[in-house]
Amino acid sequence: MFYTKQIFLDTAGNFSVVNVTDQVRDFVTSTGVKHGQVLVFYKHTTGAVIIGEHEAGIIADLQDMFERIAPVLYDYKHHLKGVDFNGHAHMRSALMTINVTIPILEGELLLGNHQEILVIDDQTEPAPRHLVIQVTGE
Amino acid sequence: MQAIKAIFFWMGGVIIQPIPELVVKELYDQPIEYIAFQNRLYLRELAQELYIGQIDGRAYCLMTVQQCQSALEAEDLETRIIQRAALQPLILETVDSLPTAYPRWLISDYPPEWFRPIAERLDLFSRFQEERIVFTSTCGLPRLVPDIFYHVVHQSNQSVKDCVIIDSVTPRAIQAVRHGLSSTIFVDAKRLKRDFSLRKMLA
Repeated sequence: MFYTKQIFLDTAGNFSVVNVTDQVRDFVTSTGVKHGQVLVFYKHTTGAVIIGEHEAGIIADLQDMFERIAPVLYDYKHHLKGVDFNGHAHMRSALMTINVTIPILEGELLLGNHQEILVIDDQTEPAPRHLVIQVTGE
Repeated sequence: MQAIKAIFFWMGGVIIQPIPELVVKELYDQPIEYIAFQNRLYLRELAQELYIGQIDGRAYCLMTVQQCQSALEAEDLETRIIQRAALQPLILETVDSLPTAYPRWLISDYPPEWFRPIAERLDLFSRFQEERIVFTSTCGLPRLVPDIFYHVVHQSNQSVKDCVIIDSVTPRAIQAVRHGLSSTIFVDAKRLKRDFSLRKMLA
């Protein structure tokens, strides 16, 4: 069986990090699926979904790493279009991933002790963000 | 292991609900994500003015009911906030689990006129000594972050590297580490207790 839900997140953008682990866990529980997997999919091109530790130092280090690889202030070709100026966010999104899959066993997410499902929004303005959660299993 | 000499808890988001979320709950009986995006944004930005004392609690309520076109009077909203602010599940048990060797501080983003009746009702004064409660609205800060970090560290008379701040707002927690404090992003009490355990702070 497939069960799909969309959730909306408010973020301030600019590498905002939202922990959605509990929302995903609650949805999995609500489906009654005992064995299967859950897909968490980010519907935008300027952010990512990762599995990581929700720790301030790690997030600061991630920010610093991406600032070295794809700095905010840079002459991105994307900016020639003149619509928006978020080339860095597109580059960073491409380097991360926009979806993660987590196995489900006995109705529980098989996450490690420090693993959390984190959405990173790197858009340059605050905006509502959309996330798809899809549970597959029985 | 780093020696922790002061631990700072944010009131909104860690001990009780953040003000904008509580306000939306009282206005609509819904989680904050159910109201229009522009209103959510407005309420959060308005809260920033409240946090640094540019407006008081009553003005915040007045501007909120106007923006949300609520039939509720500002005075009634303020009363509801004071009467219905609720503890985060298991947070006091987690605070109590800390040995007394760690001085506990409270950073209240709730203004003093709201804080006192809430704190009395929720028995916060037995956990936090009055001289270790800092009100963001009365510190005279031109901006909340990073100024509040330096203010509370100075108040505690500790070195910045010996302080831990517990905050539910991820960008603020990141700013704290960028300014030399250790910080923990609060998600729930269970995770917070695990963090204390990892830091070997629990007896």
